[in-house]
Amino acid sequence: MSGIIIGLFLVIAIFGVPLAFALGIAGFAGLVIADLPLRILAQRAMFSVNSFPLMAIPFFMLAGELMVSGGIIGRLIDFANILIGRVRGGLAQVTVGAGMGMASVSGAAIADATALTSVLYRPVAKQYNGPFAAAVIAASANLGPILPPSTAMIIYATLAPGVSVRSLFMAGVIPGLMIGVLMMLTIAIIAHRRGLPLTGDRLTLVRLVRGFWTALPVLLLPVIVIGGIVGGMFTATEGGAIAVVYSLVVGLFVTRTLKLADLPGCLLRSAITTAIIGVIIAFAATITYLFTIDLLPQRLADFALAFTDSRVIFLVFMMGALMIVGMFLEPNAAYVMLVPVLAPLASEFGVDPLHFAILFVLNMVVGLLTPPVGTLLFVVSAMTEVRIGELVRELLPFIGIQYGVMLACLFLPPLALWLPGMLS
Amino acid sequence: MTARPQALPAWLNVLSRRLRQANEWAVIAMMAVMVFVVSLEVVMRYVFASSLIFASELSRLLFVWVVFLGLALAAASGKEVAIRLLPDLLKAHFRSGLILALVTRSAGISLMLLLAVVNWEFVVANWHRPLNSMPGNAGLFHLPLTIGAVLTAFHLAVGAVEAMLSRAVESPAP
Amino acid sequence: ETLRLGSGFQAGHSSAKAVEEIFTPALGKIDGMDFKVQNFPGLQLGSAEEIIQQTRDGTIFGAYISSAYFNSYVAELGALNLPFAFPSREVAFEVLDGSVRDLLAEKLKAEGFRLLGVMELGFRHVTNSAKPVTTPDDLKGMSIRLQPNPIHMETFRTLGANAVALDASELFAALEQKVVDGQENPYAVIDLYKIYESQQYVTDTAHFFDVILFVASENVMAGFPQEVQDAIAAAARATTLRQREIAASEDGEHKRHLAELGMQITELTDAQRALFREAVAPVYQKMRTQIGEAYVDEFLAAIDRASGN
Ligand code: NA
Ligand code: NA
Repeated sequence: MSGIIIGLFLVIAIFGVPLAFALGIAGFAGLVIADLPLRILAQRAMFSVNSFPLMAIPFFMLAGELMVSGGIIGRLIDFANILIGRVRGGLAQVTVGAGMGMASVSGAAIADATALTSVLYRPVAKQYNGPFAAAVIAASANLGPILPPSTAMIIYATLAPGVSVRSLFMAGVIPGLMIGVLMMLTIAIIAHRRGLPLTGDRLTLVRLVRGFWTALPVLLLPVIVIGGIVGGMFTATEGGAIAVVYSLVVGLFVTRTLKLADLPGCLLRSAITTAIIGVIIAFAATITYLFTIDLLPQRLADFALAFTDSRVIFLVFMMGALMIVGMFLEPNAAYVMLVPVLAPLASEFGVDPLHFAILFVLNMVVGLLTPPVGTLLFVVSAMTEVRIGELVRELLPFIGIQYGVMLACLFLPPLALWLPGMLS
Repeated sequence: MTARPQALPAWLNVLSRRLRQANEWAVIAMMAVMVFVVSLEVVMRYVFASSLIFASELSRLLFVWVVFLGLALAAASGKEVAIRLLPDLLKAHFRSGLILALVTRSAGISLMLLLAVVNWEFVVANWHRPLNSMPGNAGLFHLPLTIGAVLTAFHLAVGAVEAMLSRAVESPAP
Repeated sequence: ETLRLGSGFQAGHSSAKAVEEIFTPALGKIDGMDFKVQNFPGLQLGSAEEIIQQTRDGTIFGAYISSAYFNSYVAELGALNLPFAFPSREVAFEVLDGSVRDLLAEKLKAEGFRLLGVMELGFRHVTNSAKPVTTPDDLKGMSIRLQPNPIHMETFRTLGANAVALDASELFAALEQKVVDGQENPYAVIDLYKIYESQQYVTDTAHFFDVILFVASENVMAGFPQEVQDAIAAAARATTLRQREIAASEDGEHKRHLAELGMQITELTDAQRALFREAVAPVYQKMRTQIGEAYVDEFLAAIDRASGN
């Protein structure tokens, strides 16, 4: 049954039916095949978006809209440009840096992607080109769930007894930094090859100080939001709401470029983008439900056990299977369905639970960028109006890097396990 | 907020615009209240050492409304995310492009109408059940899906009529 | 015939274990029908509220979910949330298997649920990251995360704490980041969800005794022949009893484990517990006005009888 549903979804989607609707139609068909009531589609749709953490999406999106409309984001870009505009592809490097910064505040790739896109897409796309800008943003946003804090890791640890949230957080640090650095190197090579334009004037102390002063209110935003979350003032979702209030205050009273008349437009744009993402999550929920009822995870596990009892072969096979899962499933669905089945199975094969956990999470996180079902692809494509095909083409080197780091962690466990071992 | 081509009959044009405007203002207000409630909860915690018991439930309720009402707005402006490969290939052929657009729109319209109907059971079945932390009933969580689905179907249908009348497939969404 | 069961509890929880151990194998061929039980723990079928709805609709056969999620269907269940109501698990189950059961079963049936059994979720205890708590005064000004349940919130406000309603999905991050000073949960949850990583102190307050309702869809059950219904009820009864056994022994194990991990466990003396109980008296009054004086008093009288007072 699971296979038929996937096939049907792909066929419908290729005809140009919006993805949310294609998911919904495939879901309806699956319910008919499974002889289940059709109303489940409605039920799953509502309950899957009835979630507090998901509200980080509209909040960070709105904060970004306000920053753009308030002209305050221009100040940040100007400042970054002063700093590394004399490096080829400098603005793309700024994006990776911003992604790593965001990742250290937020736990979710989608929230990071919306924030980075609303803040950086227009300037980066203007300097280079749309698909490249969108790809760098999507790949940088993917650091969100790899560098701590990470919602995905919290979910994983609660599903797998024997894996602590803190150790898993620490296990993500080195792989996350590796991905960041490799992305910067790749961008430098691409910038050199394509001869991307220089975007800044020569750096002088006066320019630096003036730029810093102008950008200060904007630079304080991450300090307040990051500081507030790390310091325990508020949760990550609440941090999104605080970012909105801060951008509003700065835009209205500090830069004074934001007008009350701009607010409805900002609220509306962020609401519509939220809806497009929310509805995809809503209709994917029925498909996940059908996979669960169809016992897909258990059948995968049986399949694996029939093949081998070697630890390494098992791990390699698992990573291959999870790569495919990551292509088709929304990660939260995959965690909920697969962790309870596969984590004990991995232990049976003698795999360190923490090692398996980080590999699993990395795999699902890269899956956010891989077609046909890649939540980050949908989000960034919806916000930037860059087509998914073009986005994927520019993303290929970055997807390669992220899978590469995952494989490095597979064969060199200390990359992931050394830091948590040191700190425990 | 964009002007529609004049191919539509005037009454349909007015109805479509009015519905869309009402929807827009509803979504704007809900977003504003969401931000307000969640920020207020943080302020309450620190300034007044207190907590709004309804903050989570109210903001989640509004979020569900924003998602499904927002879907109708996305449909009205052709902003849904779709794989445009085949539609773009057929753009040169007006007739087959139009047929494909009509088929995909009909699929969307059927899905939305079916959803609106099956979801209505949940609205009715939960209308007597109180919410946890504030006045109101659990049916309010289910209601936006039916309303949003009907509005979405309406806008998709208007778009289809428009495409046929204007003898041009609507400009491709990204 | 496939009987699907949904739950929010993880596969390792006593409820899921008992279902796998007793309920799943107990139902095979009954009255010429072939039964197969499929258990989906760990929120695989959706949120707790959604699983309850699926059961009510007959989309799935049944569920075992914390009773708190049924409060909006059967208001009388709110009495189970009264603070310091049950002196011990033995008394609790004597009451819940006795006179109270019939009333609840009837109300649940009217809402589309067949009550199969009442399982133990456990006594809830307060943990925090600041200091040992021995009196209600120690809670003054401390921010405690609670489930967004009016009675729970009211109880802690009455005790002087800053009661913070946080969604369960935000709990672990909130504790890690010290958004709140403390929280309250059974030992099993404190242990399995690693709450001890961010909380050093736990007081054996036992302020709420939480139960799990094991229910089936009334529609689906009523559609089976009487013989099948009886067999299912018997299997469910055995499962419920087994679950209570596992839960009781695990409660002690989890408590010992937490002590080994270095959590400082404060045991309350009878006098200290009495202070807490007196402090929450206003909550009882409020409950009386909310769900009916007669019912609450009858409920409390049943507890007194069972306690042998
Ligand atoms: Na992060
Ligand atoms: Na993917």
